[in-house]
Amino acid sequence: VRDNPEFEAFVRARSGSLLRTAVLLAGDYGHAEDLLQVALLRTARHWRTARAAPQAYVRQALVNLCRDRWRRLKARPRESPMLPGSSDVPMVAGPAELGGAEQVLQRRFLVQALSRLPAGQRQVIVLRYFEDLPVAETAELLGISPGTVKSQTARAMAALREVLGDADGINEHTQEASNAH
Amino acid sequence: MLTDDQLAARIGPRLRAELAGLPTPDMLAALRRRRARRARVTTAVTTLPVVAAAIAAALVLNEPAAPAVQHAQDTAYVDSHVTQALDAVPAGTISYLRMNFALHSDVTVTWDRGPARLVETFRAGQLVFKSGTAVTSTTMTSVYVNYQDRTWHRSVMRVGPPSAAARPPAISCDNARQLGIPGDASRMVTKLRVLVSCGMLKADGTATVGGVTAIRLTTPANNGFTTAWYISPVTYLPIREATTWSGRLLEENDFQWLPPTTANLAKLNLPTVPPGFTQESTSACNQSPGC
Repeated sequence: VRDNPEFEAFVRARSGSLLRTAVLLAGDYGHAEDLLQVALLRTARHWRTARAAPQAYVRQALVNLCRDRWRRLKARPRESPMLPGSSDVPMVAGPAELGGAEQVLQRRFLVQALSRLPAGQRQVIVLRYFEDLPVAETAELLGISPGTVKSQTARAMAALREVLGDADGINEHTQEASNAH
Repeated sequence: MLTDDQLAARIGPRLRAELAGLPTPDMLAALRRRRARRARVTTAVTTLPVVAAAIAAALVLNEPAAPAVQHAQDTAYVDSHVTQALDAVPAGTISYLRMNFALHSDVTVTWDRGPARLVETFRAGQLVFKSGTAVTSTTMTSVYVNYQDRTWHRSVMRVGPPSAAARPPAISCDNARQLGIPGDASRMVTKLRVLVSCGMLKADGTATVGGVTAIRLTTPANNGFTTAWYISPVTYLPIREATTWSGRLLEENDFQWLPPTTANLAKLNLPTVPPGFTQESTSACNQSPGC
């Protein structure tokens, strides 16, 4: 890590956005940070291979690590990988005009809705709409067929609609959030 | 009720907005601590300190050297990688250009994607002008907002083949060094490509740009003017171009290469006119700077 300026530059430039992806995949901030560190160390070790497309390499490592973690957690049913309404993701500071914890919490309602989806559906939503990957690339990264990506996406969208209730609300909240930034 | 496509288009921006305030820890420091912890555990469990030292040494040696920075004096190597990187920029990439003028306080920021463009000019940190251009197959719409005069102007023109007079001069080996800053990221990249292909740039070591160690390519001094391009050692794309005259900085242009995400594409939306601004006629607008 210390002697590789190229890798360091990559980490400085990309760790913020990769951490956000990790939070959405892992579901909580603590595990996300941990998984991202492991993914970055793997990337550093294989930098000669990874340097052509380091972000894709880390993303693949993150997906694999999250999958391993879910498998481990399945064997230990007392732990839940995704706690609905978990407050592990630090809350964003609310603008003065919104004010109040309730409204601040509302601003994270889609992260929470996403956390209630099954792992596979959550992955396709994060990769396709947060990372803006096309279907083919999402399929390759997850090791599934494009058809499965599409069907998982459709199921996830239906589930999100159900969780979110009035889907038009997402528009209001998005508008509200973008006005706040 | 939103359609699936509408809902899908809103998920990404909404998630980004919800996670916008997420703190970003110093990941490099965390990685070093983690590696140090791992090394301590390795030392503790091993019965042979010599073996532990060898493992630790192997860990360090496995860190690959930084080929880009190692080749920071190798003009042919850097030129070839820059050309490859420019060729590999995906179509539809949004170029972001921030122009800082050392001689006055103006800063111009441009988002560019083909004919679509948004330009903001700041003076002493205040937004003073904003203009945007959107193009369809038949029309080109431009909106210009003057925040100083609280005026705005909109023009819609029919799109036709550009006349020879309207076309900017082609950049060649003969004029690349003389041509001023085009103020347009794609033209600047073309200029860089020409400078590289004509062998006018020399790899000149490294410099720190925004906390990143970048490779510096420089042109020989010409009437006292020198241009330096700073290349990312990760992507080999330019991240800064700086022009100096007799050692004094004149201009600094910072680049970013943005994927066409929904949030980035939103940067190219035509500017909205704040309430209370007065609409100007074309002739009045022509008198206005930057219009």
